[in-house]
Amino acid sequence: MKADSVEALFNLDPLQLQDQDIFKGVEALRRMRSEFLAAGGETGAKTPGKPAAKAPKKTLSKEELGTLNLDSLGIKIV
Amino acid sequence: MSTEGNSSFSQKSQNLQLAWDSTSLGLLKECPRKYYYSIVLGYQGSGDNVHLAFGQLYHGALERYDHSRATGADHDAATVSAVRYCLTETRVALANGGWRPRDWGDSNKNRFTLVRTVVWYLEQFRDDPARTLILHTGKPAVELSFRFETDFKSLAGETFWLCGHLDRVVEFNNAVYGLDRKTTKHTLYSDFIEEYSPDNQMSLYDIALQVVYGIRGQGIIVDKAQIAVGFSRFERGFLPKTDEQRVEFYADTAFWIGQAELFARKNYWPMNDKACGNFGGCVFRGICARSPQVREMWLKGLYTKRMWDPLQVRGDI
Repeated sequence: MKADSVEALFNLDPLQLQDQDIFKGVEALRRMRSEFLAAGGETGAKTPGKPAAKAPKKTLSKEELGTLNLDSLGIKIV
Repeated sequence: MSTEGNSSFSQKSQNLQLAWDSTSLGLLKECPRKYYYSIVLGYQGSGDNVHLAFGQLYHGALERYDHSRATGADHDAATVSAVRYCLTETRVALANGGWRPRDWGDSNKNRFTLVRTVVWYLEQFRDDPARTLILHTGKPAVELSFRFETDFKSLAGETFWLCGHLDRVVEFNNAVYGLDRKTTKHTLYSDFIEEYSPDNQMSLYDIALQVVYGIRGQGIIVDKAQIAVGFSRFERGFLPKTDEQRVEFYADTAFWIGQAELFARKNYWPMNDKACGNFGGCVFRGICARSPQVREMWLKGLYTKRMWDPLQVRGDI
């Protein structure tokens, strides 16, 4: 049994699908994404006048990555 | 007792929940009456909840991917395992030996868009700088059930617990974050992260990260997916947290759980009638709109029962 398209991926009994059948469907979905992007589609968020939230630049040093004082939070690890 | 058999509730004090997750805590904050109907009595709207089911399958598929990668599979093989999970979990066996695809009757969230979203997400984050932490057991830190004891006590001296499930714990830019994945049908804007700051669930996950790992996490990353009929799009947002915010959330949580004990002792669950229209309308609005003496009859007729027990650990794979 060969699934050589997205349609086949969804129409065939999943229990009968081989990994290579599924992979062909995955590749078809990836092509669909590429075509969507090529047609001007965006797979990131729309920007309503604000830049996207970025990762904080500051990173913690090894010293700062110490154990949090859980007692101050009144929390016990169990 | 309506909570009989629910391990998250007290055996001494009727209707008093001792183990709290973000869902039950969030419902209590939103509306005590809604919390009572949904968690204490266990009522839910009849029919398949597409958003819950879709979200669980989406999480489950990406969990398979993470596990496969952690055990040495390459990107393609791990993607296949995630897609196989989606396809088999949406296969409904028929009495005649055949099968049919699961159908929620939703044009945005369906079997096809589930698989497409999983594949496109994994393409979007193919070279993800956020790397899954590997536990000392060798398993990836994904879908981790957590529970921890607080120092809050009930009037009967019982301990309250906080619990839940972390989607994923990652190392990103030399810092540790919890990572949660969300889906929506609505347009995804780049400032979406603001809707999670503050947020009951994210704050609890952030505290859990500190407790589970005993390290100073930076906060929470949210990967949100918009599921449209013709495409899926994604955005990543960051929620950095300070210790002061953690202490504040913890103190607020103590207050809310104290309120829950008060409601339980009096068996009085007030409505927050300013929340009835939230999120498209409360599922119990039609009940609360009726006269008190007929509500129970309508609840039994229109709703099904299930038990919400946050102490039930999700299956490990």
